[in-house]
Amino acid sequence: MSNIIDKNKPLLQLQEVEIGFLYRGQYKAVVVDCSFDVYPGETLGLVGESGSGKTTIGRAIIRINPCHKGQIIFNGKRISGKLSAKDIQYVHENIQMIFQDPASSLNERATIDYIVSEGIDNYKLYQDKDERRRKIVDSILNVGLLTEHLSRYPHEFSGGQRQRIGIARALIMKPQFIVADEPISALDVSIRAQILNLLKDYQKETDLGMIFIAHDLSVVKHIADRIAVIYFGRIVELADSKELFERPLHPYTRSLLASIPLPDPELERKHKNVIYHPSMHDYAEDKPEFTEIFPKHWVYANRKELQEYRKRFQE
Amino acid sequence: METRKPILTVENLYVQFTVRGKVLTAIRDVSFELYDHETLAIVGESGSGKSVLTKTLMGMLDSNGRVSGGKIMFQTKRPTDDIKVVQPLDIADQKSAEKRDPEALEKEQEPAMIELTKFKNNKEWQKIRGKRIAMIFQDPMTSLNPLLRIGYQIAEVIHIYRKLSWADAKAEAIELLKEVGIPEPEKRYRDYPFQYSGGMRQRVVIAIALACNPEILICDEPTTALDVTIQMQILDLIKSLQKQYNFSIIFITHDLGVVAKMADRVAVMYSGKIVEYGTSRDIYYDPRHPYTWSLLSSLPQLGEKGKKLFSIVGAPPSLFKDIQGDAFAPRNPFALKIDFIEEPPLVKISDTHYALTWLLDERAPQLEKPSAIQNLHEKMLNYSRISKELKGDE
Repeated sequence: MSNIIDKNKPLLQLQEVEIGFLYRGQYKAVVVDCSFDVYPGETLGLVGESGSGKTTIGRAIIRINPCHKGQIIFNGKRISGKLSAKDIQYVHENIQMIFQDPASSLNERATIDYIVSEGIDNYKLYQDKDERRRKIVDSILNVGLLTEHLSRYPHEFSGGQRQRIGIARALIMKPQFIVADEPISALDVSIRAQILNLLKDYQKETDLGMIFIAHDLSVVKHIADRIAVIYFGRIVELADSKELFERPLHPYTRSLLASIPLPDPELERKHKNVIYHPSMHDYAEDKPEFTEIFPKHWVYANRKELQEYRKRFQE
Repeated sequence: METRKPILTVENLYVQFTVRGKVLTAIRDVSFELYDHETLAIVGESGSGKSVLTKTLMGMLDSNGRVSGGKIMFQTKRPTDDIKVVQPLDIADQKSAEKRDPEALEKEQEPAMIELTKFKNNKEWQKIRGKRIAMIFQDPMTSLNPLLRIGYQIAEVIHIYRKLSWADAKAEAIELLKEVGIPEPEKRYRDYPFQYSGGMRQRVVIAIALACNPEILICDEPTTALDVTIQMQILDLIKSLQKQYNFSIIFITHDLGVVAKMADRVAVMYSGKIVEYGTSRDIYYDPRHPYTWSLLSSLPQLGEKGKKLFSIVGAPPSLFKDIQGDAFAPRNPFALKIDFIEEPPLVKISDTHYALTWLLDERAPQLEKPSAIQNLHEKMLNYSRISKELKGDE
């Protein structure tokens, strides 16, 4: 398995993925027709409200949730569905996840040393004890914690520090890909900036591909190169982050943009809420499709809506 | 603010906790006023003492905490029946007036002053808490009782505090549920909290807070646990209810983005002190304290793509120790030498705007605020398509 990265080849591909669960004996699809690519060194932001299925997609990538249709391809290899033990290990070594809630994602009864080293211990990613120690110390220093913290327990740390531990635990595997599931929504504003910078720095050094899941577009705008907006399990718009802010097409994207609180009392006084409800679409006859309306700007709309969108941005 | 009368006055407040034999000073010399119908936002990081401050206002300090100095005066316009009242005027005068003509005095409806810091036990507090000063907590997941029906939790408040019969209380509770935007309130009345989404639970919490028609509503980070779209809805709801019910709001948050929408005035807190306060225009367009600068520039909305987001290094100081000089100095990139030695003075910038910093001293070097927060209004106008469209409305 080669670890050489081709920058122009997608690192991760989702192809028409559908994820569902059994609910009271009945199958219910939670995520439908989800396709996107992530390139090395790129961050894709997944934005949507709670219950929209963004975390489900993230969890499907690291194989916590099964895919029911379509496939997920990582470095040219299928990683969804049934895999050999060797391939599963390949996924675990190269794709890591940072969880949302630093309060509940760390084992309360384990020391930081154990929490951080669990991954490399499982797969014996070191030659000898010295190397193991070195790897742990490096990873903990990288995220701005101290070696003396290793013998402590999670409850001795603040929220921001706990999230750093979660990040150290992911980065120690030297992954090629990270799924960051709302890593900052439980943190204070000033600490948010520290965590965002930390992830961005690491990405610059290593060509890491990342999916950044959030419900807040302002955070995603800052960190992501491209943004996918999800509404009830379906990607409704996908574009470069600048493009999405300049030319939001789908009404749901517009409502998300309108709900970003701007630090400007003058503007906020004039603020109007844009409320989105799916009943505003008329999809009875004219069936919608996920279409590339402008270069690299995709939107889920029917023919009539596409015409409207084009007209709106003709000038 | 012409001659508006404050409804709540906090003067030189100190709050201390005793933790394992050591004394921690959580609030250090805080003074502010809350006026009628206004929204005052208190902004700061976790550990800055903003939650302790609100708990003090509600008399809900933990048993190891106490008010060690200063006072809190609450001016109520409602009948005070059995609460001990301190009149701001000459008390002897008042008494003689009462004897002479009790009816005339009633007509005047001079607001009564209550000194909250004099309260000794829960019984006294309960006449204020929930009734005149109500609170919305941060986490709607934990502030409702999971074992009781939603409707009961609202009706209970009305039944106990306002002494209505259960049937009337129920009718009132359904009315309140409708008011806060719960669809089909008659049906949802019998639901349990787990059947509600986060945003709806927060609406219920708001309904409970409003059940007794309070004069002051304290919102302790009411939207941090919610999605952005829901956050906007809840903030709009609180605002429209304020117009309808005419209460004052103390809004606690760490997010300066949210404050711009809500607040008339803003107080920025750091390690138990108010370091800057002013109208929201003062704070956003002309911030003077380096801590306010830092809080503003660390907002992702103001970050520039590809550049590092500004972050405040280090952590707030330990409150067990006496703080020498400016508490923010060790984390302050603009700190002067004197910041480490002597406490900065409170400098008046305008009638509404004060800041606690040496930078405003005439001997201090002239500093520009960080580039990230210059031309804030233009930047925000160009933030997204939506904000540009707002500009077109002018």
